[in-house]
Amino acid sequence: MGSLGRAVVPPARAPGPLARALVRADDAAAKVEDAFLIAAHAVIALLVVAAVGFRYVLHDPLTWSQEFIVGLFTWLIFIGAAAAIRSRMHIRIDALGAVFARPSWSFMNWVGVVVGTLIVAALLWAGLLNASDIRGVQTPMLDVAQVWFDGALPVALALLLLHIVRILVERDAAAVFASQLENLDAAAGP
Amino acid sequence: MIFLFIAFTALLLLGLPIFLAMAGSAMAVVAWDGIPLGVVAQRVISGVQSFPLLAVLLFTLAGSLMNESGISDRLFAFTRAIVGHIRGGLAQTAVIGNVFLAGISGSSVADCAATARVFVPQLTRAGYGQGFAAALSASVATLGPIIPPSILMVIYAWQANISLGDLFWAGVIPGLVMAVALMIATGIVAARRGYPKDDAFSVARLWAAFKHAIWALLMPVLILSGFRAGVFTATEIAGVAALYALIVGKFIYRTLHWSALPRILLATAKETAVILVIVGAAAPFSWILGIEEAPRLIAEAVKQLTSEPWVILLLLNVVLLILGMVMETIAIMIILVPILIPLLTTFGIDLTHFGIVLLVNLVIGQLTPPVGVLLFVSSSVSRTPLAMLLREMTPFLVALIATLMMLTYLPSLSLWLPRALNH
Repeated sequence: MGSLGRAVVPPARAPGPLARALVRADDAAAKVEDAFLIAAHAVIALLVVAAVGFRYVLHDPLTWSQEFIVGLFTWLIFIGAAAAIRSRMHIRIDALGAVFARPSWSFMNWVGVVVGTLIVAALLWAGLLNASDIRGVQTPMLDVAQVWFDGALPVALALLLLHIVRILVERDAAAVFASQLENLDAAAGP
Repeated sequence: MIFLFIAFTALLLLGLPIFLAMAGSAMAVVAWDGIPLGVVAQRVISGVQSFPLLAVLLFTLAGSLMNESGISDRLFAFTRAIVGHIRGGLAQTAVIGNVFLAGISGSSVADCAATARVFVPQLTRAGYGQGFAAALSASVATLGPIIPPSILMVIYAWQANISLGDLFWAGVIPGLVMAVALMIATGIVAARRGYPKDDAFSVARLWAAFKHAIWALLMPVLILSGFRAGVFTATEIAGVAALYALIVGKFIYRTLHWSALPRILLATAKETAVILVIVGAAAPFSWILGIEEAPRLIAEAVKQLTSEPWVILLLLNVVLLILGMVMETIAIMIILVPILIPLLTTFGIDLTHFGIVLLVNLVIGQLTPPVGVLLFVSSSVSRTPLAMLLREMTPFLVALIATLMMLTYLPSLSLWLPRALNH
């Protein structure tokens, strides 16, 4: 989401040796994310259609499918949210984007990144606390540990942190949460 | 409650994504009140663990598959054969074309991009102003969330706990009224400026274009029939719609290639995730508002101001239009709907009717600066300077606001069709 005051996303800069290692790790994570999202989406779509066939045509509903689909859907949403930061797809309101683009105010981009990273880290911690709280809880239909479903949040947030650091290293603070709608010319993400 | 909104606003102004601003402000309040942080994570996760929300993913997939099949070009050719011969016919084609496009995609952003890509170059070559063409492309895309299927409707029906089928049917007449209003605005501008028209109407051309577009035109019929049958869930209908789009694109139109599927699946997964992670982050946010009895306090405060439903609706329209100028559509809906439902129920306002009023407000918000996503999409896709586009927006905004007032005070425009079908 953009506003009339558009933030300017700087172009990528050449990384040093440590940064290159980080970029490689992030690229590997990105490949796994993308492969997972494609597979999960395909499985969800196929299962929903198959469930319709089993329920209305064969009159033999796949009773386990709904819980499995919702679990996979949970993973798709959180991993998708982590992946979306790479594609600059997250929705934000850059009402002060033009102000923060001025040299005297550019430190506010760093404030935003620090605060945003702290929120991601706190939510990751909250996700781990939740995972610990639900140890021993089983899902009603599949009878698997609930943590297999709820673990999506902390895993996705860890990936999100990795992507944030990568963008920060490769570009700068203004680019971390920038949306592709704000500056199309610089929208090609890492 | 005040601390929650101050923290949320501050985080938004810092430029954080909406889901982080919501989760961050909720965590600040939870930490301040000494509640374990794990509760926030648990609420975020349970906020998205919903089978009905899967319809968002699958309707988005169905729309993407149809778009990838080049469906917009077929629909536009069909509508051009219908209205191309009238004054400003090419511009009217964009309006009617979006009625059909809206019946397939459900996303105003996707519709706007498709319309701007196809129409701005054509309109400019035909002698229309570039600003007018870009403004038209943005304005007609507002039909997307009103005419079913609609991603926003899926989320609203889930939030308000109302029938999605009823809401889908309720959007049909308002969507057509909006289209007529936009056609009138387009017609007035076209007549004043002497914009051109196509060759005379031809039944043979219409029939040929209809044959090319028939499979695409059947998709909204399939979706609405599914709801009419009353036995399928919204998610199942969305799944079947996606399968239908795949079969039409791959085996009938033969314009969809297997190799494109991974890209489409990835893009739609991310698009859905971006929306639904906000829904998840809003869960602890709404939970805190509920604990602090915000909906009840707001309902009581409003009751002291007035007891007339028409005044409430007027006030809500003003508030929503202002919010639409400065906030993002999904965020407004996700924050406000849980707060407003007790108020609406208290005043006897039908939630399906209000759903349509809310959505029309929100899509008008997508056309108003400083935060108007359709302005940016149209401007970016068509490479039209924003200032040029904004200068041409007035007739379209007037038409849409006039329609909003009609839909607000004539609830039967929204409710007649679902009620007629339920009896």
